[in-house]
Amino acid sequence: MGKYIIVCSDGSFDKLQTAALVASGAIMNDHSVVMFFMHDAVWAMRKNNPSMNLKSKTVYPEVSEKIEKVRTEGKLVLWNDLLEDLKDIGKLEVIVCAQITEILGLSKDDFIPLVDQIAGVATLTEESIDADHVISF
Amino acid sequence: MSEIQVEKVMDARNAFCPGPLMELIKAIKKGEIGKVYEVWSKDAGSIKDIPKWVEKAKHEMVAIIEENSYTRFQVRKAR
Repeated sequence: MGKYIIVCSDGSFDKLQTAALVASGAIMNDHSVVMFFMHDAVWAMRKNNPSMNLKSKTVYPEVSEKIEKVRTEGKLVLWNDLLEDLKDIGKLEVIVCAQITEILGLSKDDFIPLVDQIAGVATLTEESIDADHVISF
Repeated sequence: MSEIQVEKVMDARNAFCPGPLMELIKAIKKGEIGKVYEVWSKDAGSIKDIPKWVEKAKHEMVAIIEENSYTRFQVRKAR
């Protein structure tokens, strides 16, 4: 089976939701996925997820409205819940970037349990060497 | 069709893609070989994604039943 690397540096709800969805496609088909969170996306991984992470901010108001509607109705699986589910059914590793973690004054305990480890970019590049696909958001 | 014994039915009609397929995968992973698991979906992606996954994951598609506003997928865990 293949190996995917998904790099998330954008902390917006839209990008995180999209990244999680792509990860789900890979995991459901028995591929392994390493997700590497950098920059703004690291802030999104904190416990007690702030509400801003649940707001869609697409350039189209209609898209935001429709997404907001299904989200408030509880019909949309949120990116962090989707990733938790994926861990149950397949091989998903979640890594957060050490540099930004330090800059933001965060530590492992500040993150949601989804986070497996804090590591540097060298881990990302090494993981990418034998990956079949690298996708970035 | 009536002789098919379904072990578990997952009603995922409220879920968008990939919800229904996720429900099916979770049930099959936890399930027993030989048992049939059924998922209900209204999601347009399911009609392609679910049979494709079943084939790739080497399980058996027992039946795809079209109801009025949703589809029932019956899948036997084969391995």
